Amino acid sequence: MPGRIVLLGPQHPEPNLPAMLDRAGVRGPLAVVSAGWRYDEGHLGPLAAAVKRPLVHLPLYRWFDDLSQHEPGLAEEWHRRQQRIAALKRAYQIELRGVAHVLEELESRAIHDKGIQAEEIAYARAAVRTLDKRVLQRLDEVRAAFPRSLRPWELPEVAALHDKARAWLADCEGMLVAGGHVAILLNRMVFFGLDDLSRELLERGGLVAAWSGGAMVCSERIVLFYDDPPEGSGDPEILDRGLGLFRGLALFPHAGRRLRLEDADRVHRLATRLHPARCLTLDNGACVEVHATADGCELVDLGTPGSARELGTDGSVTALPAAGGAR
Amino acid sequence: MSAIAELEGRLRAEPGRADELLRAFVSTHDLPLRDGRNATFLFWDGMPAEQVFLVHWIFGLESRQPLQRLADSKAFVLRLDLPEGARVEYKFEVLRGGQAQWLRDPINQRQAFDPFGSNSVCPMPGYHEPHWVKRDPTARRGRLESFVLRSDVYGDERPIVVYLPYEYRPGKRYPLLICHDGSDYRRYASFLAILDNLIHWHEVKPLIVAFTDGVERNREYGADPRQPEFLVDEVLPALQARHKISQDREERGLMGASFGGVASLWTAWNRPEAFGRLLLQSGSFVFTDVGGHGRGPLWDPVVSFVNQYRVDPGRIGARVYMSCGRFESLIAYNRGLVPLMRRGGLELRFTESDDGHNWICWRDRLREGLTWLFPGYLWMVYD
Repeated sequence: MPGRIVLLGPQHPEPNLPAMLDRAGVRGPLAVVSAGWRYDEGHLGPLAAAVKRPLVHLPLYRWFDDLSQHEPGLAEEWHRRQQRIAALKRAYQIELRGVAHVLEELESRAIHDKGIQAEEIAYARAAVRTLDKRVLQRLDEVRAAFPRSLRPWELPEVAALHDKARAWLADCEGMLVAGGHVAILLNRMVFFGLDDLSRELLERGGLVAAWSGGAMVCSERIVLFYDDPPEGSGDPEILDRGLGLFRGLALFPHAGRRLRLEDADRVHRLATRLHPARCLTLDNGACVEVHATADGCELVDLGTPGSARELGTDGSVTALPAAGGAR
Repeated sequence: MSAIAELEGRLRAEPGRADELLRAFVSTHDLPLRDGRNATFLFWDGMPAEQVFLVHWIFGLESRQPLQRLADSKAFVLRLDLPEGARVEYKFEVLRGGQAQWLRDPINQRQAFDPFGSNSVCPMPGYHEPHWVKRDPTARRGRLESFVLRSDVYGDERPIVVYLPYEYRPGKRYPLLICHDGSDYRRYASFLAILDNLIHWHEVKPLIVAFTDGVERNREYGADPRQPEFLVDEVLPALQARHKISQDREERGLMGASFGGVASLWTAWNRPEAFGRLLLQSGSFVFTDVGGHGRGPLWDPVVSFVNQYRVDPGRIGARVYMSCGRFESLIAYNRGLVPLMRRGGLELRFTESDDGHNWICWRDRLREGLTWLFPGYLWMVYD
């Protein structure tokens, strides 16, 4: 696609979106998707003040709420679908807890117990990967069971809003996708067909700049993570397929705080689990341009050195090479 | 040979160099000495003393234990068996010229503060200060507002301090937590930094916290019929007049430690419609099965209430987080309530810690309690 995709880290405490836009020569107007902020999605004041460019808000969260009130049938079907998905996720979490624990225990015991063979560990790792793959297939099956909700933007009651979003985007030089609640952001973007509209924007040379959870949603597969939660083991989970604007990249914003990057075993387990996808951390100051390639993507680091790091299957955490040294 | 045995040998061999040897020892060792479950307390301040006692607040151990003089020197030692991960606050009682004086350990610089001053701290191997009690410099800070509430119930005026989360907006509805002994929680339990951190990290949902303090604290908090009236009929409406507070009792909570725990449970018991979340730390939930409680008249209404509560623990219909230190006499009473509360259908989480009746023990459990009662969307939100 001729357009540009730029992934940024959290915009707090130091926003780097304005500098990126300046560097890229973007004047705007820019569309903004902030549905991840939920009921706060319309509070664009600080963003507008920082960006200093005309913004066009796509109020997907509000649109969805309004539709839920005016189209109870559609809302009810969507609600039932989401309940099925939630039940499926609960089962996935239970299964994941079991297989992830087995893998961790085998790996930690193997350090001292040479009788534990690599084949057993590989088998346990495959079980985790199979479960991750299966949950995505099962999500597709659940969605297929609700045909009206598969492409809701084509329904008459939604089409007008979808068309409005398309028309607004047509006047914009790019689209900003803010972070926040990734499930809600993904859900609303898919509901209004923003995945296709994003591709249209990129096809005509536009910019998609997404930060933190927004970047996760643009990826192929969304991984939820928090290594030190107040409760539970903190095993990463697959949320869902993302918009898939680029391939082969799993994103970890706030990794400096949310991941135990000093724990090489944990990093190894995460990177191996998601391989061949590359695991990229995005901390404050990160700014990475993504170029699609035949077998994945090429990354160009334009941010603060060390703010975007790649997790290796050997447990390593390596800063991306500065622009020019990309893979 | 242990470091103390070696020191003792050298003191006996060279009594004339005792001060020099002791000075060298204390400057090269992290005291109290801790190895596995052994803690060796050493008192030495260079001055002669007749006798030294270790004063601590570990229920189950003699609270005042004599140290032994070390090889006719001015130093005294005592070894205690303490659990791994434990944290003990202590002082030395030093007898000089027939006068007893309580002193902090002059060598150990670790201190914990409370309304009565400060104690020395002995953290056993395995105890680590939680990372979340230190302010995250990137965490957005909430702000404090205060107002004076004219209380008809108590017939006086009382300051209420209100914590508003960083994202606070007047038009938005927020959960509420009312905190007993609010000044002490802020001062001694790092509560504001913890709130800022946990909210910023999305571990806890943005909420309003109202800090209150008692005037005749023990009486008012000790199952006084005025306290539920004060909180429900005066504090809550005053907060609602200033902020949009959730109408849902499951988003409204009470918390407190010691007698503050009693005041919280007592209020929920009397006015179950108002609060559905309770954070109870080392609650003074003394009860009797037979006979008296032997704790003095202040406790009469408390014991009477807890005995009554035990008959119908489900009446409060709340989600409850309860914690207590294993080094407190209250641990048995808190443990005793757990099966009753569970049978009463309460969603209860109960944690025991190897610590005592002190503010650091309460601080160290705040993350568990707050995330249990007001969980944020930590897995889902990446802002």
